[in-house]
Amino acid sequence: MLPDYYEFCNPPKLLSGNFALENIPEALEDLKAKKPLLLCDQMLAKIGTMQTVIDALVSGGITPGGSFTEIPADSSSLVVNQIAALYRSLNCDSLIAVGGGSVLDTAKGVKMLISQNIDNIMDAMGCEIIDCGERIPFIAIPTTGGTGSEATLVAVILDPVKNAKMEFISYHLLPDVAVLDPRMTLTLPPRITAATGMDALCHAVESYTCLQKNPISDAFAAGALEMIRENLRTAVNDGKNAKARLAMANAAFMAGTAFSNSMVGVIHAIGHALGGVCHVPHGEAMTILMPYCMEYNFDVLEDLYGELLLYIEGAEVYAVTPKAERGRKMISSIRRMNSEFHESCGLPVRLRETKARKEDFERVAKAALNDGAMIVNPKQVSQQDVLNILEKAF
Amino acid sequence: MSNSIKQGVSRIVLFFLYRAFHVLYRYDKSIRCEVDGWKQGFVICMKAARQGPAICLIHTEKGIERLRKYESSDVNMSIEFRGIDAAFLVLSGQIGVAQAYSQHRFTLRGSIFDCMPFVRCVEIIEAYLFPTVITKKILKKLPIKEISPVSVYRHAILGF
Repeated sequence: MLPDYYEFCNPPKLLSGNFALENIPEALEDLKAKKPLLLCDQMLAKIGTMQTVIDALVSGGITPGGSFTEIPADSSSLVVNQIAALYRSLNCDSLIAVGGGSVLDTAKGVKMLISQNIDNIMDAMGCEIIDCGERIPFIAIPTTGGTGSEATLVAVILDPVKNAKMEFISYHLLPDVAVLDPRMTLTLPPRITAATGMDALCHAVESYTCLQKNPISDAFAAGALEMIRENLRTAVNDGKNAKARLAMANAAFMAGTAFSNSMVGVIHAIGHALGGVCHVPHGEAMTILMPYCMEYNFDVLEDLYGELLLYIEGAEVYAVTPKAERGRKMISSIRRMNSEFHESCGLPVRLRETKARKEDFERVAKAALNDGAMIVNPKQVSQQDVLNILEKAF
Repeated sequence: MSNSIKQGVSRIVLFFLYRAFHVLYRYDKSIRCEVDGWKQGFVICMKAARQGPAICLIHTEKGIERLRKYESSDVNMSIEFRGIDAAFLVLSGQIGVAQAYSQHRFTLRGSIFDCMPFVRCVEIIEAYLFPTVITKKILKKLPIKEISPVSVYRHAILGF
């Protein structure tokens, strides 16, 4: 159904496939940039992923202006401020971020700070309040195949004073170029591959079912689910399969595009809170919570879940499943995938297998209710509802 | 409908929103619980449009009060509709806050984390101020009312 009004924005130019990294110099030239600041985390610097990117830049005649490789898992405004100062001191003219959600979100924060010419990122906190500002060319190179941050308008950055994750939402946070190169994810361990893949799947499911859904985001979500169906198992079980890796990177990009334009709901709201309070890795939280939250939303979303069965199981299964059973079957399919990955790579299917503790549930529930994702969930969620979901998922 | 009428209606609804907020802090424990989650002195502004009617609220020891004079640096959270048409859609009960968010009808300056309790308060207040035929359409779930809407209007009009 067509919404009364919607907006859709997906500006990144996509470089996807073999030797995509080697095309970055040309992309930089196109953006009139010559001196990028490279961002990544310690692990990617250590295992040589960053060096692969640097080699590709140098082979194309680009010498990076500098690099920052100390981005932590939960990046804070202090890190963003520090990187912005480095960018200015080195006279860089663009950003290249190599990494998962934290690195890419940090880069978005740096872009915002420099383009808005402000000293503290918290001054720009909010939803759709910044203009384009000064142009800062920004290239995102994801390394996890799941977060989809390279395609989203959201950045989540920790406020160290409040010890709370702050959300920044603006179309101007989106990268100019997203680079999907199979070399970037080949070394990802099976469990993280599965967890981030399920995160992408969750992006697609929630974007297809939340209040902000629209026909274009639906198309991206459906496409992402088909790619996940066909490639996630292979990427987990045969990590060196470059074709499956690239397909999953594309699926994550598509799911990210979908959720950037339709947002996500209760699964992400509780997942963010579990990450903030109990430090449960995001992909694992999504994996565990997805079936329980889908059960919670079922009375409102049965038909839409039924539609998704086509993409998650394929035409044959969809066709032989009576319409009245498709929604339930969709949830069963998610549970079956969870079980498969639980057996093949130890992906947790219960909160008790993670750092989550029952005594933290009250705090998790309170934080979840105040997460921005809750507003677009199609069914009202109370604190008790969150507690019930957490109890069931434990 | 002309913009001046929409501005006038928006001004009236914002006034009742404030008065109902003030009253319900005393009579509705859900509102009180949400508001008390903000620090004392927390300031929220809601603008129907950049140059349109606006209202600024402050959390004090008495609950929610209107702030008539303020500097922009005093404001902790500011919600601004993208235009008077967008504001009118919400303030006349044609769409809910969740739909307005989904349709990019407003911008938010400040923490989304702090904004969510405000959204829940507005939805509870809408349940008191609008008839059920409207709230069934714009709210995901009807909240339980702790006093009658007539009492809320009486308190709001008489100003106590």
